[in-house]
Amino acid sequence: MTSRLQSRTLRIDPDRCSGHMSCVRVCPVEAIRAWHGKAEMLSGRCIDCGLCIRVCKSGAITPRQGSMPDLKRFRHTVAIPSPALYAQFGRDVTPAQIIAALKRVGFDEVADMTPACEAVLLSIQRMVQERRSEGPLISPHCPTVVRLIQVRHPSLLPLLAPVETPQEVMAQAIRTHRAKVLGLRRDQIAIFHITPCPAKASDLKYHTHHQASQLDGAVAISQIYGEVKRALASRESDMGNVQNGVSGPCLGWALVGGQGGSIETGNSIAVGGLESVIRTLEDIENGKLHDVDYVECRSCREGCVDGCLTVENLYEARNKLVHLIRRRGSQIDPTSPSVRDLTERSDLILSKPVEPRPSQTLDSDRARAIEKMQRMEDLCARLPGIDCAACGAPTCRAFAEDVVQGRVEEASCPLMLQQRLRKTVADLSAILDQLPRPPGGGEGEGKS
Amino acid sequence: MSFTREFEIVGGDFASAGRVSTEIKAMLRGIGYPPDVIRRTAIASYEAEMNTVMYARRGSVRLGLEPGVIHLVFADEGPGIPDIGLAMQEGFSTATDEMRERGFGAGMGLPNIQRNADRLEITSEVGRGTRLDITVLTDEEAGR
Repeated sequence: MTSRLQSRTLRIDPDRCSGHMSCVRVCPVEAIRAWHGKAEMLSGRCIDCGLCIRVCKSGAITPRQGSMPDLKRFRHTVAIPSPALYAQFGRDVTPAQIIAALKRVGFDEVADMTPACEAVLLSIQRMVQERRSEGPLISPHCPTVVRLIQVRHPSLLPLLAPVETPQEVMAQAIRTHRAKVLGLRRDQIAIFHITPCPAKASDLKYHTHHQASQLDGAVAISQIYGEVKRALASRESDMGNVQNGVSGPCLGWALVGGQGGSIETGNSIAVGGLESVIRTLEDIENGKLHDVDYVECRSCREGCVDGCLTVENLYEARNKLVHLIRRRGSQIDPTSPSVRDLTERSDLILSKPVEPRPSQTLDSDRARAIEKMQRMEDLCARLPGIDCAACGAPTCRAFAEDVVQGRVEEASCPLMLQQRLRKTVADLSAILDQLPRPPGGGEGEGKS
Repeated sequence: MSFTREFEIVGGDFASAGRVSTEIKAMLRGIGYPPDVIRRTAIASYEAEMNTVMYARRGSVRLGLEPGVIHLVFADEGPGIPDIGLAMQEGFSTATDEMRERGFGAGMGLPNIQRNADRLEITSEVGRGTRLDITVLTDEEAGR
């Protein structure tokens, strides 16, 4: 049958998979099948949302993450934490303490994303204010949402704000600056993103925006949590010379609505959770929402703080950020030199548009695709239509697609098989009824 | 190779309004039409579906696909349009206040369909119903 590649971001362990189909049903792009009692991924479809990781009862689905990098291999190592990291470790531990602890874990330098977040937000604000064409601008900062648009709503790609992610902007600026100041080659500096989700990690390898990422690797918050926690406990009072600089707009980056809260737009909306995101994208595609000028879409319900690689209770973590933002304010200071430097960088704005990734197309030849669609319709009309998922596909429609694409046989639908068996039994019995009773035996009424 | 599929639309059912257009869009995606063709068809089909939901008792849409052409035929049992010329003017709407409160009836239905389709034919009989014949050309040579 067809190739069965796994997702580039997630790994399914067949030994741990107990085949209870939660992942098959939850996947928003119908990328998972369980044809042989074990979950597997259709290639090219996964958008790295991590919903399957959350619902898997047997822990069989894990992000493909490398081991902790060996920091001693590099001349200068830098960690760029997602602001979601500062939401961890309890209400009393400040971002500055977390940054100090990260250094004790072994990074030579920890760069807070404040200037990059603020520069990116200011660029978005300018784009929204200068925009004259139809439809709202869409935030490009949740990689899962970008992939969803590539796969499912390619007509919305021109609405994505052409801005780089703050972690990329930050990494680029740091590498250039440190290479000069420390007298190192650019490749002697290693920069790691501390990430709340597998999508941001895979974004480094398969960067949606340009060819090569400026980041050398990603470390999951859950992966480094223990070490940071120990570092916090061991020398809690030693703050080194860390400034308490993480700003409100930067912290807000980890929350749904955090972006719109820091920039001036006419009418921006913030949407959290894939189901709501899909509904909103459908609305934009249908030509609704013409009064909205900016849409911030996040795959996770509460934003990055809700990423599936975070550790603390979501609502406690969220509260901590809200509290910090209230104290630090959500205003951006556009005159701050570090923000101004970054705003002027040309690499902040993307030069190339994000390409579509049409993985849901039935055939590259359109005439054949139309024919397959008709066969799918005909088959759907005969299927029970109850989406029981017993065949291993999430819906009867997805099953019909699998049959038309030659991935499975029609008889893999247990209800269709039962129907066919019943009919065969009835046919056989009708034939038997027509045969003369054998001499001296046979039960039931024969026909005369 | 050609494809047809018919969908029912229930008048007044605002809760599920737009579902048929979403289904049609998913099919167009499956065929692999260019994003711009999908976008224009989606807007035309959504507007037409909303008109049916807003004004008609019931209606149906037939999606037909042939090489180079997407065909949508919306037919409804409803009040009909007395003056098609007037209805085609930007901003003209007969939506009730309730419809407007729900965000519908901004009066951009028919002209918006016209803008996004390559051909639009309207036939209507007052008291009986309306039929919209929408054609979107798919630029077969460029798309393949």
